[in-house]
Amino acid sequence: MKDPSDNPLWMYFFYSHNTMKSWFQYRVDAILRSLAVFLREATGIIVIYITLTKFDDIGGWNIDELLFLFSLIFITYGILIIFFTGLRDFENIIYDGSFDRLILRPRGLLFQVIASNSDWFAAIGHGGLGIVLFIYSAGRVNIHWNTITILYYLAAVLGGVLIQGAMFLVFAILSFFIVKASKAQELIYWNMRKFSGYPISIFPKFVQYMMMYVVPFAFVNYFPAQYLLRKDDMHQYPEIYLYITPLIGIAMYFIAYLFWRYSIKFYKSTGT
Amino acid sequence: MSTYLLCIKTVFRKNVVFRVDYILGIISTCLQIFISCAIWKALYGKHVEINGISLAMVTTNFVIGLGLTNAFRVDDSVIQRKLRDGSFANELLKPINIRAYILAENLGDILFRILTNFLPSFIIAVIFIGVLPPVDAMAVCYSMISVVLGFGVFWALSSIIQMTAFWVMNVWSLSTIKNVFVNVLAGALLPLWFMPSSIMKIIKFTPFDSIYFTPVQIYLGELSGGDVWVYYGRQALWIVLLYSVSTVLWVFGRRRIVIQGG
Repeated sequence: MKDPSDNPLWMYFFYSHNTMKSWFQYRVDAILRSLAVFLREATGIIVIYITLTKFDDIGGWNIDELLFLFSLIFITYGILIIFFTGLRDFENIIYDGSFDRLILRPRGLLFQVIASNSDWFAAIGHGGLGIVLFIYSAGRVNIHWNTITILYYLAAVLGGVLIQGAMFLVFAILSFFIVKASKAQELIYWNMRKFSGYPISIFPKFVQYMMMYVVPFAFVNYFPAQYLLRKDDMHQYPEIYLYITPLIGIAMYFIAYLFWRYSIKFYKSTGT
Repeated sequence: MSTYLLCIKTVFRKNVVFRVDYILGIISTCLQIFISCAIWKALYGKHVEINGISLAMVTTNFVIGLGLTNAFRVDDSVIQRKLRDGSFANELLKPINIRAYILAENLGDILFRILTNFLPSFIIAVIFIGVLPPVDAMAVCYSMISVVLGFGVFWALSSIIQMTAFWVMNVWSLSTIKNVFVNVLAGALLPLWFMPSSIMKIIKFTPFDSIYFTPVQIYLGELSGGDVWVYYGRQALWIVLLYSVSTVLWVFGRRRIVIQGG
């Protein structure tokens, strides 16, 4: 008889089932933590919502359009973190030596890193907030929802998840080469993410380039939202950017994966 | 007393070792200030003033408010950690006041961050972004006193969360929710001038605006003369009130713990 653990899908569900059990061991604590993540991420939204009661718009975007822009960041992160928690905490996996244990097992390394953990509280907090914002804003903004726009939206979400996943992967790989790679991630990734909900056209050119070509959050939310909304500030960017989010996601992830395959050879255990 | 001063000094010295950390910290603070200013510039658009508030005032509020936010960081889970790893039992045996000791540790950290993060970012912001000068030389002194009192309010609030460790399993959630309130209502992310008046009426009865907004108002000369002393009084009152709550929790909490043999 064929061993069911040969099937990666079965393996993945087996892993997920176990991480869920451990994350939701304490019910009240789990609910409180998810709520805390939800509120923490909502802080920026509450602030901009209150601010825009005194101002007309920000760079030509009204509050509903802005919330739609924010919703893409949170929905993609909510999905991302179900799969890529192991890469977010990769530094710890290396430090406490559990990476050595993964190497010894007869399954793909990246598969194990991805499957072995999921931050369910972050998934509920971020994803929940994203869904709330989407439901609130999707009907209020000027988008004509039909088969094509819905398919585009789904492809853009998938692309957004892959773009951020590729960034996580690259920062994880950096921990093979430099100590405390998380400092670089904190500075470049998390700092920029705080402001990724805003239309990039309001920022100075330097920040715009960062958002497009260094940590490409612009392709996670700004350009997909522009495809659907067609605001005036789009004219300063190449029109092709509206369509390529899914392609960029796939390409970035593929390149990051090749980089991972190459770098894994340089891994040295910390010995703990 | 000298024990606690020594602790402040040791923590300060310990921080000096990590040089890369504070260079990255300065870059990070400057980036936040820089981008927040860009957002507000877009909000103002062509307007010079909104509700009598100029963009320069908002910028000044961010440079001081966000700068202090990055300096004022207190570990809310310190008691929880000591309870979990058992070191709390040993701490009780030592002839020191545990809370004073925690305060001394925090002061060492914060003094370090004020000097290596807040001041450099402030100077960089003055050069590159432009910050309104204080109304007069005395306003700087008065607002510095207010910053110290503001920290007192912030610390006392954190202290309450620390003490909940005796009852709840994980203080992280409570700490995070408290930080949401501080971030929204204390004026560092959203200048309180733009808060709707209905919410502002409620904030007046909370400790939050005492943390960052009062020092900013004194610096800009919105509060002067006798008002300054009224607001000092308000800050001091909140420190006393919040610290009392924390003390009550501390007294009852300590009775709850059961120390088992090693």
